[in-house]
Amino acid sequence: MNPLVRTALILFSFILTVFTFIFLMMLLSSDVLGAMILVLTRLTEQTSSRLAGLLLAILVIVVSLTSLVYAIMSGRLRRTRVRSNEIGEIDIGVDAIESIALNSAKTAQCGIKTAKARVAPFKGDKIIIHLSAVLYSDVEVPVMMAKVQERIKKDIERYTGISVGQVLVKVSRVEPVAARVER
Amino acid sequence: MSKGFVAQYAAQAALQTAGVADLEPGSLVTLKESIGIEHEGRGVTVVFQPEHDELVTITVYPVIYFGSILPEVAWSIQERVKADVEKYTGLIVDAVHVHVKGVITREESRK
Repeated sequence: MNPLVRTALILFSFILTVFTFIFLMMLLSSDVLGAMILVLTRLTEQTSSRLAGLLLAILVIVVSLTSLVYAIMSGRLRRTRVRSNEIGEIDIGVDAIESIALNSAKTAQCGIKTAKARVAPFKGDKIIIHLSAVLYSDVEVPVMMAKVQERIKKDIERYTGISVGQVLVKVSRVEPVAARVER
Repeated sequence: MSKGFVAQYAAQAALQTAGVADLEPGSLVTLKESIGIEHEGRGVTVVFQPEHDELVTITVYPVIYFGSILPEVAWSIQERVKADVEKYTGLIVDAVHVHVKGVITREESRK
């Protein structure tokens, strides 16, 4: 998360809290309501204070828009990788990159039962892979996950030509090996 | 010359390229097929240039087998589609865009 967006998010939540608090107070007591109406009418009377209010409102709108856009865009990689040659452009979709990551994790034979992969943009032209996996219990997690990371990075770079910045592996659950044998 | 006609040649050419498992049709085409209307050249869109009837832009949406190198497969799709469409229809292919929609393993595709 970059610092600018972080600041915007903090500002946004702060402003939201303050406004909701004022709104709540207005609902609870008519005194506050009257005072707020008085403040608002005063604000619109004078040109200077009106201008300040206008600026503040614009700032709030900008901040909330930034956080909205960020919230929508940050989840998944939207803009996929496009490169072009003399015939046309080649675009590798997010689904394709994700399923390469998934397949290489599964074929690594590191005791991964099921996994989910997600791709997000990283600094520069790189991408970052989030893998959350369910493992079998007979796995040495640090050793094996290091192997998986390396393999995913190598496979994606080889098959797609996109350089991978980071591979984050999250082990969400460990299942007993016996569950596999029972059936 | 209709779009579907050109699309069929393009789809044929793309499917014959090594490493291509399938072409993925868009959601609209899937809907159309589920009703029962046959769509010619699924997974391919064809756009004629407004001024020049001879110029055509083709977009292919392939699903590629795991283990093949995506840019290389995409390049060969471009070359093949361009060559085949130009040979069979006599149109000039302005551009062939390839959007790789997915990757599947060979075991998955056999199901």
